[in-house]
Amino acid sequence: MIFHELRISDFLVFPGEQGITIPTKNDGNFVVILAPNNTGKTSIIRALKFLLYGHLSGTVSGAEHKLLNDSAKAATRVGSELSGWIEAAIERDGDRRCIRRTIVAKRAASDSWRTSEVKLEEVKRGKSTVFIPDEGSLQRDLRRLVPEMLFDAFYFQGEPLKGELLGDIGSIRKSLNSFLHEDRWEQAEQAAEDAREFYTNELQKVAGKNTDYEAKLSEEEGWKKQLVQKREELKETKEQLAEAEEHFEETTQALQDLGKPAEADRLLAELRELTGQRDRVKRGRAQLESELARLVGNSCGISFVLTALPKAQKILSKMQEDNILPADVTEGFVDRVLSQPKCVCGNNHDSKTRAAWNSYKAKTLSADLNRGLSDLLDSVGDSGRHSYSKRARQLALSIGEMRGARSKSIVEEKKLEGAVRDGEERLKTFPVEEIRRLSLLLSKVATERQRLSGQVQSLETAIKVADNSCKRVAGELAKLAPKGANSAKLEKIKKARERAEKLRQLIHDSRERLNEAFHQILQKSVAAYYDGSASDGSRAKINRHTLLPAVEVNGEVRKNLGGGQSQLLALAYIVSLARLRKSLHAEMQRLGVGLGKLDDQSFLLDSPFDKMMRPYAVKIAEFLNGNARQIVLLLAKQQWELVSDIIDPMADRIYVFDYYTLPEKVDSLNANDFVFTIRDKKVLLLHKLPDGQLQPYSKILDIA
Amino acid sequence: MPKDPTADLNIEAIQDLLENEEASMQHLFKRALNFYVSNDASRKTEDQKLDDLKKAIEESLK
Repeated sequence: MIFHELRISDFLVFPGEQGITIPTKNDGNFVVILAPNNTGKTSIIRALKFLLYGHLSGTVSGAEHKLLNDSAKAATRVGSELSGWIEAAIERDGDRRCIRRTIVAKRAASDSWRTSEVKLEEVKRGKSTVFIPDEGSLQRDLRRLVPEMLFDAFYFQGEPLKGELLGDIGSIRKSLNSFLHEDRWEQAEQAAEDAREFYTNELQKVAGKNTDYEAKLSEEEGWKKQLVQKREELKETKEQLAEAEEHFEETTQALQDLGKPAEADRLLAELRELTGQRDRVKRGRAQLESELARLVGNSCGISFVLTALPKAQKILSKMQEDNILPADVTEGFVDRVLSQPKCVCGNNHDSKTRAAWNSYKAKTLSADLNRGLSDLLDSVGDSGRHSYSKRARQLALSIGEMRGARSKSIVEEKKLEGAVRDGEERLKTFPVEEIRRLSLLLSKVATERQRLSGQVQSLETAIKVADNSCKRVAGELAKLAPKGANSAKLEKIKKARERAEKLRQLIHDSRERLNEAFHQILQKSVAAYYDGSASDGSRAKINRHTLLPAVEVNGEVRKNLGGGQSQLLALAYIVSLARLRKSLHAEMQRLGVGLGKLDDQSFLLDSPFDKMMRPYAVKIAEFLNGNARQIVLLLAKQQWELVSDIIDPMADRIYVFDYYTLPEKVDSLNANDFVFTIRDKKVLLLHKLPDGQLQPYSKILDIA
Repeated sequence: MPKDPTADLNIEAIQDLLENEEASMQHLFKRALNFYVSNDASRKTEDQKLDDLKKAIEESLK
C-alpha cells in the first residue's frame, strides 16, 4: 500500500486537523519525521492501525472515545458530540483513493464519554465532498492489502514484528502462510481430496450389495492414503537429509579453516561489538540513575512534606471556616472601622471590641503571616499552581517511568554481560575449544545423516509396496465391478474420482514448486541484501520449511545477534517478502487466477536504529535508500544524531512534531533533548501550552 | 526502484507442470484455484465451493 497523504484530526496527541504528504515517485521515496521522545511517534503507527482495522490493542470496543484528543475533548460541552478521524489517500490500481475512519463520541457528563459510532468511509472530493459508507468490501480490501497479522512487519517500532521474526515463532509462520496465500492452496488441495472421497462414497453406493467390491474399494482407499502419506514423508526426509549433508560439508570446512587468522578476527570483531553494546547500555543506565537522583534531589523533600499535609489541611480548613483565612479585609479597613463610633455589627465600640479588632489586625492581617498562610493554602490544595500533591504526583510518575526503564536496562546489561563473558571465553580457548566443539558437532551431524539416509531407504521400500498394492487392487476391482445397468454410471463416477485424485496431485505438486520458488527467491534476495553488509562473515539463511530468516556462521545458527545485525536481517527480509507477494499476485493473474493486482508496499519505521552501533546504523540507513518505494522514518533525537549525516541529504521531506506541554513540565525538561539540527539549522520542538490549556499535544510541521 | 530485482517471482515451474497435462485438466486446475485461491474465494461457503468443484470436475470429463 502506497500513501499519498496521511491526515489526522482530534485523534490521540494531535488536536485539530493535521497531516503529512508523502511523495510517490517510482524510484523510491523517503520521508523523515523527527520527534522528541514521548511526543507521538508511536501514535502515528497506532492511528494507521486503527484506520486499517478499526481497533487497537488496549482499547475495548465501545471505549474508542479514549483515542480522541484530550484538548478537543476538554473543549467539548457536556451533551455535545466530538468526531476524531484518521484519513489516508492511497494508491490503488494506479488511482488515488481516500479512506477515513471516524470515531464519534458524546460527552455524557463532565467526566464521562460515550462512543456513538466508529465508521469507515471512502471520501470522494470534487466540487463537494462525498462520504461513501463502507459495506464491507473496503474493509476486506484493506485487510487483503495489509493482513492484520503482518501489520507489525511493515509498520513497526524498533524491529519488525517486535523482534519475534528471528525467533521462529509459530504464529508468524501462520501469518506468512496467509500472506503468501499458501493457506488457500492448502484448502484447494484438501477440497480436491474431499471431492475424491465423495466419489469413493458414490462408488460404494452404486456397488450396492456387492460386498466384495465394497471391501476391495476400502482396501484401495487404505493403500492410496498410505501412498500419499509415505510420499510426503519421503519428500520431507530427503530435504532433511540434504540439509544434514550441507551441514556436514560446512562443519568439515569450518574445521579445516580453523587456524586461519580470519576466524580469530571474526571472534574478536564479534566480541568488540558485544562489548560496545554492553557499554552503551551501561552508560544509558548510569544516565538514567543520575536523572533519577536529580529528580529526587529537586523534589525538595516533597514526600516528607506530604506526610504533614493532612494535619495542615485540617488546621487550614478550620481557619477558613472561622473566616480567618484567607483574609478578605485590609489593615486600612480595620483602621476605618476603629475610627467610627460604632462597630460593623451596629453596636458602639467598647474596650473588648477594640481589643479584638486590634488583635485581628496585628495577628491575622500581618502581611507576612497572611501571605504565608495563603501560600500554604495554595500548596496543600490539590490544584493550585504550587500544589505539593500535584507536584508529588508528577514526580512519582516520572520516577516510576525511570525506574521501569532502569530495570529494563539492568536486564539487558546482564544479558550482554553473559554474552561478553562467553565471547571472551571462546576467544581465550580458541582454537582448541573450537576444534573440540566442531568435532562434537561433526559427529552429531554424521549420525543424523546416517539415520536420515536409512529412513529414506525404508520409506522408498514402503512406497514401492503401497504402489504395487494399489495396482493389484485396481485390477481386482475391475474384475469385481458390477455389470449391467449400473456399469455405465460406475464408470462415470470412477473417472470423476480419478480426475479429482489427479487434480489433488497437481495442486500438491504446484504448491511444492511454489513453496520452493518462495524459498529460493527469499534466500537469494535476503542474502543479497544482508551478506554484503554483515562485517563478521555471517550469512543470511532462510529456513526451507518455515521460510523464516536466520543468521548462520559455519552452518550454525547464531543466537546472539547484535541489534544492528538482527535489524538489518529483518529489514532485508520484510522488503524481500513484500516484493515477493506483489510479484506472486502478478504471476497468478498471468496464470489466470484472480488474486488482484497488488501495489508496492510502504514501510513506516519508528526508531529502527534502536540499540545500534553507528556502523550498522549507517548500513541500515544506506539500505533504506532506494530498496523500497516508500519509507517513512520516525526518529527521536539520539537516533537522528547517529545517522543524520546520511539521512538528512537523502530525505525527500522532513517533518517534525512540535510539542506543547505544561509550563512547569517545560521547566523540568532538558530543553537540549528537544533541539534538532535539520539541514544545518537548529529547531526547538518544546513549547509552553497557551494560556488556559492544560492538555499536552503535538503539532506536525513541514520543515524541509 | 529496488537495488536488486531478485525477489521477483516467476511461476514458470508451475507452467511447466501444467504443460504436461491435457487442456481440460489445465482448465480444471485454473478453475479450482479460482474457487479457492482467488479474491472471490471468501464470498462462497465451503459447501458451495465444493459443489462448484465437483461440477467443474464432471464438466472437465465431457
